[in-house]
Amino acid sequence: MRSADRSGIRWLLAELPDLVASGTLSAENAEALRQHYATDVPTEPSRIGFVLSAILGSLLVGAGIILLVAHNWDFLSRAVRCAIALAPLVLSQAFAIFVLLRRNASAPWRETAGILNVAAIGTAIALISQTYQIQGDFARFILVWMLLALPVVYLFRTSVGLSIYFVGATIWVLSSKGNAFLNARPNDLWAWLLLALGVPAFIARWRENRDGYGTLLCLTALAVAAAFSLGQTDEIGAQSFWRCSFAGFWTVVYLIGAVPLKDWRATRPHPFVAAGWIGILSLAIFLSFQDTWRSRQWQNAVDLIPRHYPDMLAAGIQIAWILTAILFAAYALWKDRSRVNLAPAAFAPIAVIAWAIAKRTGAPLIPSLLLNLFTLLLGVFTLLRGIRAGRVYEANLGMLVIAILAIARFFDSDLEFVVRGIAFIAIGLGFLVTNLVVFKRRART
Amino acid sequence: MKHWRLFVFGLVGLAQLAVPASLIWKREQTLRHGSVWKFRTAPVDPVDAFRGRYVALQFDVETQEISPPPDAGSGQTVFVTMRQNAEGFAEIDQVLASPPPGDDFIEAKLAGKTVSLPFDKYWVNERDAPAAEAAYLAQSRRDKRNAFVTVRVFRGDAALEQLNLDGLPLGDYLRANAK
Repeated sequence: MRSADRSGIRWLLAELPDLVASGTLSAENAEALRQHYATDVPTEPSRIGFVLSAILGSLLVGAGIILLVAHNWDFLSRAVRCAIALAPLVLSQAFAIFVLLRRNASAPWRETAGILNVAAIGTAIALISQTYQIQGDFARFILVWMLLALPVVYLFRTSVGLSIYFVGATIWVLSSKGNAFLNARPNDLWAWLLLALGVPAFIARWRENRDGYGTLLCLTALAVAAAFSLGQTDEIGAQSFWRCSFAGFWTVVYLIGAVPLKDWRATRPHPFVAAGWIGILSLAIFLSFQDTWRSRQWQNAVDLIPRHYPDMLAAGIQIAWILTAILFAAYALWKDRSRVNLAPAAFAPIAVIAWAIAKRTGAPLIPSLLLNLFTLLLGVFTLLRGIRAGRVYEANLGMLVIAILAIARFFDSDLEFVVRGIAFIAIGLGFLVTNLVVFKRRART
Repeated sequence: MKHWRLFVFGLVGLAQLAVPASLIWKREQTLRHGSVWKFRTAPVDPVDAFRGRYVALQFDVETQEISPPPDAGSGQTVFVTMRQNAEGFAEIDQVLASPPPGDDFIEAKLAGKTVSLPFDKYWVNERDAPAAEAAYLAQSRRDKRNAFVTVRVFRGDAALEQLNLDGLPLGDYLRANAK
């Protein structure tokens, strides 16, 4: 069963008297519906409200403590300042032990204890550093903080804590750029290890309730962290290959929302479907310009498989994203073809083919044409699919894709006016013909 | 079920305490047993000197050209020993690839033909920040150079002790000049 969309249920329950009055439903049927949906309606909102207020409250308290103590009272002796810095940590630990003993079954208590403890770790380190004028670099501070927070995330099964961990990993990726870590250079690839350490906790959240908002928060944080890490990885690996690795990334984002989370809510798709569409469309349109394939380095740089260790690993990670996207799409094709629009997932293989052609020939024309063709077909396919199933939003989405492509071509200074004109006429004709055919068919049925 | 979580959290909690505690321990060792060196600050770029609540410090010795150890690249960790110059301020004596014998050396980063010292921020009280900025700028001009920091040095660790302006610790200087 689809997970309950509470506003929908409330609407349905409110409609019941009218439906009975108009004779659409019998009184028994209405009562049966009421009983079927009555069970989870009153309990759910208050619980979510409690979780939210617990999280918000503990974040505010944590931030307040940080601000108070960070005021840097230099009239206090060093020992007193150290005690003040460590006090939130010790208190949060005592609270955490209480929660483990007495409130371990309650998600809000666990979230609260986890967040307070994670915040207290960072506070203690930062305040001690300030008291003693310890310089240290920011990246290392974040790294130590996150590594200390990680076991807390597992012990307290906290969604917000896990999201903080992923965000922290992202900040570390960005702030440690170019520095050595554990004698590896450049260190940016270590971000993947840091992310991987959080993935089992994420899987546990997913198993518990994949349609919940907590899981959505973790998933979003993980996706953002992965995007930044992939950006860094692209700079180390085969650089021109970023086109493909990000095509893979956005395809995976789309497929996660569209396939395993297709039952997210009865009335609307998962946010990752929208995010995936935006990502795929933006990148596809970007790559449909010839300029983006015109690289001076095609000839002399970037073998697909570089020869040195970190570069090789980076290229491996890039390829892994592509393979994941393609395998994921193949799985969806085999399993869910009828229910899910899989056309956007063709982006990953198309991008690889375009890249291979560009790499081989060094000419930007064919790759950009390929991406144009892909975007056009994506739009047409989505339009047709939407109209065939009678889904207006999907049909509109298809038209939107075609329209964006047309606008992109209008601004394309690369194309001669003649080519531009012909392309426009073709797209316009395609538009008209599709609409004509589709609406005629719709009128017939 | 409950108890293994408790046990694991016990270990996690100890680790959480151990990190700040080790920072405290290391610094206390340095502040107690370290030898004192005075580093004279370099003239500052006024725009860059003050960021929020710390004074961004630069030192004369950071422009001193040194002979780096063989095979040492920029950004590599090096070990620096000091000597006193005629005015009583620290100068770089030797730059080595491995820790020298004794306790009196600093771990620093090589920056080409110079050394980048591991302390470049002096945290100040939020309330004093604007006054500290003005005072530091006034005492670190090219024609008037009366700012230095005292640093305790012990086995590689360098603990910034005090920022001195015109011969007084920052706090005393601000009190004396408060109008």
